[in-house]
Amino acid sequence: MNLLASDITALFLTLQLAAVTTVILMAIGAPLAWWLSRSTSRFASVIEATVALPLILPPTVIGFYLLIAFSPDNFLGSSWLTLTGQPLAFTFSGLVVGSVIYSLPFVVQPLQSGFQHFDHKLLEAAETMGAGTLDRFLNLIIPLTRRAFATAALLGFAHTMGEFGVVLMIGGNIPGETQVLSIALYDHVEALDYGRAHWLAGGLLVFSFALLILLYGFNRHKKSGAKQL
Amino acid sequence: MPKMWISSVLNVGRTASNSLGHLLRLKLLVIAVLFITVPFTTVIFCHSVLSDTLSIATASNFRPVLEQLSQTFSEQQNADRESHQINISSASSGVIYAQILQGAPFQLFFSANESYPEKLVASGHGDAKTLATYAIGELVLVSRHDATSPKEASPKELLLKAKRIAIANPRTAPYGIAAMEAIKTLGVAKESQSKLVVGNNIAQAWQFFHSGNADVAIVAASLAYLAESAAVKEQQGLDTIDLSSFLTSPVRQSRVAIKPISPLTQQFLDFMNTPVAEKIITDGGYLLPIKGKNITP
Repeated sequence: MNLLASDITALFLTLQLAAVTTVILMAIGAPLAWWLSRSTSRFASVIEATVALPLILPPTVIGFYLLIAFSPDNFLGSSWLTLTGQPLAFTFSGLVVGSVIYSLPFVVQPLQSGFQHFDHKLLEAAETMGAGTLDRFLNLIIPLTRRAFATAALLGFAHTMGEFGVVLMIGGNIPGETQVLSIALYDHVEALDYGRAHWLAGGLLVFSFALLILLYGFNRHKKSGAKQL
Repeated sequence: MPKMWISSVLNVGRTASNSLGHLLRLKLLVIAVLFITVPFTTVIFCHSVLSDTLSIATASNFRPVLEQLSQTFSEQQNADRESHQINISSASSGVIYAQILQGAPFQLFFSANESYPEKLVASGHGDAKTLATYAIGELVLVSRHDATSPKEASPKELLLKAKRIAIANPRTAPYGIAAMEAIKTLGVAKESQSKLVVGNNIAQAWQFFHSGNADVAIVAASLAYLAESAAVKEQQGLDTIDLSSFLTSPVRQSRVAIKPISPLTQQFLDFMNTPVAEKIITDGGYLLPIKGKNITP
């Protein structure tokens, strides 16, 4: 009993999904978290609650609604089909959409908390010295909140790796397209193929643990580094 | 130990008290206590009142029929002043088979094939005397007809034209295996391979089709029947084509009782042989096996 070609495919597919999702999430999450950390409007609480919803909603709720939204009879599904010529359900793109929603709070919340601790007087000072918006973002905000960025990216990646319920409901279990590691593992268990299930389960456990050690080790290192300053 | 969490909850309350009123805090506490205690008391209550429970595991295709069977059975029993509860769990047959091997607390298993119940008898979990074929299922191809696909299209044409074909997982679901066999017999295995979307069981395959994400599905007739019954069929333009002729043998569904057999289990099995029960099964889109031809392992 060892890893077969389909399991290797599932591994690469999962890494690809996590990577693409993380890149998109960082691009959406950073401005969103910045706005949430600054805004005092009531509307911001509504957005904040929306972002946090995937934390408490069962993945089956997200999966059920997504599948309905993906249908070519509905707005999202039909516009996507017109734009790309591909349907959303049972495709890699569909999984990316699901993962972005599902992992959004894991990226936005660390960033938001990082931005809240950021001293905004520094920005004003930089502005008076003639630093442009991009300059301030790249050379002031990112370096000073890099711990938040690293935490957000790692958590977003790890959480997408561990996604199961949403993919189960919108994926259709297609090797090389939507059959990620957690689904392949579930499939092996259901078919009583415990040997292959052990390989995947053990691998995921070790990988997730290593990722978290990296994350916490990084944070601890930074904390002690900050104290010395 | 309990003091620790109480103080931490109160601490959270104190920090929140800046924004929350005193009354609101009290309300939240009451709600929290209710949330924690209600589920426990309800579970205890249910168990004490309804002690006689029959847990049935069924292949997903038979679930709608089994729900009617259990309702009719309960109505008859309640007339005799006997209180009991029937719990129905559904999954693909292979999944239930694995669960029973691992000691899942089911008393009856309605499979979508003959081999899983036979294997359970062989492994000592199932009772050989209760092994019987209870229904013969039909495999159908469900599609929607619109302007571009004429109503008279053949199964082969429909499969070739489809972008997504929903089936149940052939690794665990007998109807998934049957669907693969039909696809092969139709000679479109190669063309269909990349279009297959695999549901966890036949109910999920149906959901993939029903939500509009798959244009055709190969499922049990009993599921397709659900939509066919009403004017819904006409409204949605649903077509069902019988695929039985593309299978070497019909889908024979067997059941077995898991040892030890309780009186309630035996009563339910006896009820299954009554004309009332048989009518529910045939109304649900199944054929009945010829009586007295029970299978023996």
